[in-house]
Amino acid sequence: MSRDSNFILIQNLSKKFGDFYANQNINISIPQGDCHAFIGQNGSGKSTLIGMLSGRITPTEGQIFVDNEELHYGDPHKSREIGIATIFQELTIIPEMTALDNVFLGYKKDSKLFVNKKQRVQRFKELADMLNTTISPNTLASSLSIAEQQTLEIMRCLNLNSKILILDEPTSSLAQSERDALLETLLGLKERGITIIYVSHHLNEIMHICDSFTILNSGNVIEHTTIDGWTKEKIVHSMLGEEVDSDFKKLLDSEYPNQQPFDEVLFTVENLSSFDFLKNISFHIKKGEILGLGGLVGSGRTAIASTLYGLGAKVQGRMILENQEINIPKSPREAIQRGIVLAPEDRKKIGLHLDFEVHENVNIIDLPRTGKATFFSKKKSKQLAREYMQDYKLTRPIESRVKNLSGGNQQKVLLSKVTSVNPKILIVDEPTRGIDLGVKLEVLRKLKELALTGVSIIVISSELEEVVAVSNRVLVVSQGEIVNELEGDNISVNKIIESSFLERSEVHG
Amino acid sequence: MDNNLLQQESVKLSPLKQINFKTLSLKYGVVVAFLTLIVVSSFLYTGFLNPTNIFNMLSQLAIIGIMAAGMTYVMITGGLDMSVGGIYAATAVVAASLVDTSSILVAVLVGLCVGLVSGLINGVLVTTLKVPPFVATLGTGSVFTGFALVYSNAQPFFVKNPDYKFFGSHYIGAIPVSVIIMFGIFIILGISLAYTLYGKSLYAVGGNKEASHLAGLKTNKLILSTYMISGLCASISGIILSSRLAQGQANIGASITLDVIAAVVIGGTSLSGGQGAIWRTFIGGSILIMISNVLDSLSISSYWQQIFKGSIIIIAVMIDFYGRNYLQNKGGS
Repeated sequence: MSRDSNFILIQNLSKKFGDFYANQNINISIPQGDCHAFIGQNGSGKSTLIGMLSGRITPTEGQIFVDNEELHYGDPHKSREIGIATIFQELTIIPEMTALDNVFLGYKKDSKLFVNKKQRVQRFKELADMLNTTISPNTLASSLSIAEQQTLEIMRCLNLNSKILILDEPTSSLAQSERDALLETLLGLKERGITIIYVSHHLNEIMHICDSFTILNSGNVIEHTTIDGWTKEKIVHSMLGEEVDSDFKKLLDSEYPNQQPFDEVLFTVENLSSFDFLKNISFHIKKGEILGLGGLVGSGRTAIASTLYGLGAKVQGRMILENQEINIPKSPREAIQRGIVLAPEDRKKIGLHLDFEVHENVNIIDLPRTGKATFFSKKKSKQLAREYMQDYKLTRPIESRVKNLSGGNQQKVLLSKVTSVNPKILIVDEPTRGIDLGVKLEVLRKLKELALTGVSIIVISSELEEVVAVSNRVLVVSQGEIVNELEGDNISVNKIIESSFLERSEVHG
Repeated sequence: MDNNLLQQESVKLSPLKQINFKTLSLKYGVVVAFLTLIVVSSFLYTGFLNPTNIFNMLSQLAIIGIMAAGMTYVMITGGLDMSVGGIYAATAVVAASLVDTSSILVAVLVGLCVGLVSGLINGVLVTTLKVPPFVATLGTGSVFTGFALVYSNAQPFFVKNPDYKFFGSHYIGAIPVSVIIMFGIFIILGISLAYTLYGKSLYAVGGNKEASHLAGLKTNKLILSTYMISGLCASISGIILSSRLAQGQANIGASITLDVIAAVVIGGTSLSGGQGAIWRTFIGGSILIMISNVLDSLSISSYWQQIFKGSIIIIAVMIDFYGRNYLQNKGGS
């Protein structure tokens, strides 16, 4: 088979969202039968790029050719027809249907009034053989493991004679043995001449199966080459580029030169496990300390926060608060009573009561304080809320409905709400997501100020510059485990990323 | 340019500007409909505003209204109680059977207990056992009705003690006792929903259950309490009915559940929870009773009335849905 080295050809491709370039002037070519990786941090433009390839996103400029034919942009069905199949993190398997029906979902080629089941079962078996799987066609998809469901999805793509298979973080929810099996399957598909585009944070996997790769940073191609001669370390360094000088850090360090943890250890967690995912989580936090949790999305940072806040499942381990062993909280209510509060990631969905007014939201954790006898006093509620919110510049009246506020104002309401009950430990999950720069700084300052008053703070953020800027110490989380601890001058964006990409063994070995 | 921005900002900040006719009519449209209906009815039926007719309507409203008040609590938290008809029938039968064998007091107390226990069962199913409210209460409703049939052997219990008629048929001054009971319940439940911390937390749970849980509210206990209130209200109505008829019969609850839900929904309490009020339910129930009163006076058959009633419920739910979407979009902009 003659390999077409420009099987996928991308020329001058850009995508703008408003004034923001998600992808800028991408020029790459991928040979037929290659396994090609897209590598980059969160927000580097990988998703937009595969979105354009799969036809879900229309490019602003530039062209994509597959097999010398230009794509019909923004038409996923057309893309599927010409042989581009995408498997997303979120599988599209319908649990109530059988394996067979799932594989033939949306299949129209033998479209007659009645389905020839015998023929389909035959085809199913062929596909299963190709992938070395023994799934029976009549099993309900709901009784299959995630890995098997993923196999069904691949079978569906093969059934459509796909020539290009795009996989977005396919191993993120698989166990190690399942990962290995998937990688073997992909190697097999490569043998058959199928071109694979592989998006993953796991460099080990990429080194194992890929022939070439593209590194993206802020929407630009940093590197586009074959994998020969590259190591994981070299890829990581290339990916990071120059260390971005973090303005936040300089600013906050100059404004709060004395923000250091007290000597007293406030809270210790030993061998915590939860959700069948977190393993051996052990750490301590001092009074007045800001502890950052670094790591990629899905690494287990939010799972740690949830478990501390009484939302864990199958929780094991010990917690010691102020030198006394405590039961691990089984509900948020218990956590709050112990002095642990959480400002969750999804403000709108689970953080706030959007139909309630600002002052009601601020007081909701401790409604009785707004009461005269058992009656709710609006006057008292407003007065208390004004007190708790005085440090924040809320640009709307205190009786506004929260749903009418901007993201920044909503975050201020959320923070006043959780800090109003005088917590010992404050956990903030993505506190600056979707809010503008000025308010971001306000939020970070508030965290510093709270720490000065002796509150211990756990900060989770995908904006690593911010974690670096506020934290006294950073724990790096990867695949449900704490893989590294950084302190003082050792804390940097690069160090956090480096240790979250390199697997546990390498960090310690 | 700057000036323009400033102006925009001041427009946004002014609360008066946010109130426009459409928003207002969606919020208080039911009041307008209520008043319009009174005017129209008094033209169609000359005796409509006659005190006798008004008290007649109010005492009809008592039974549905009391149950609807309890239902409002359930629906504010985002639930639904399909079993009120069953509880109502079971209470009527149990209370009627006890009046002559023991005493009125015992009959009433045991009757109320039937309601509370039924509500407790519903609440436990919905909260602890996480059965969806519609299915759970549809099931228990059938169980309670079945219990009433078994208990009474499908025969009515006749009450001989004339004093038992007090709740359903007597007057204090010119006002029927049942109407006084109804207003008492509306006032107590209305105030506690609108003005107490408990009421506030019910709205919180209905508006966003997950956020309420994260804020440390006892969401399960709050939800359970609403089913108990609904059960209690249904049993009060059951007692009033058995008192009015001087008998307890098991087959009375068949269609009343729909009327009760209709009263709540027509008033404008949201099926999705978080929004609503007791005064709304009073108006919703009144609209329902007034319509059937006028249609009766015009000798329109009850079969046709059923068609009307169903249509009105669907229209009310549609107004709720589209109106809410409209307000939501406005809020989001």
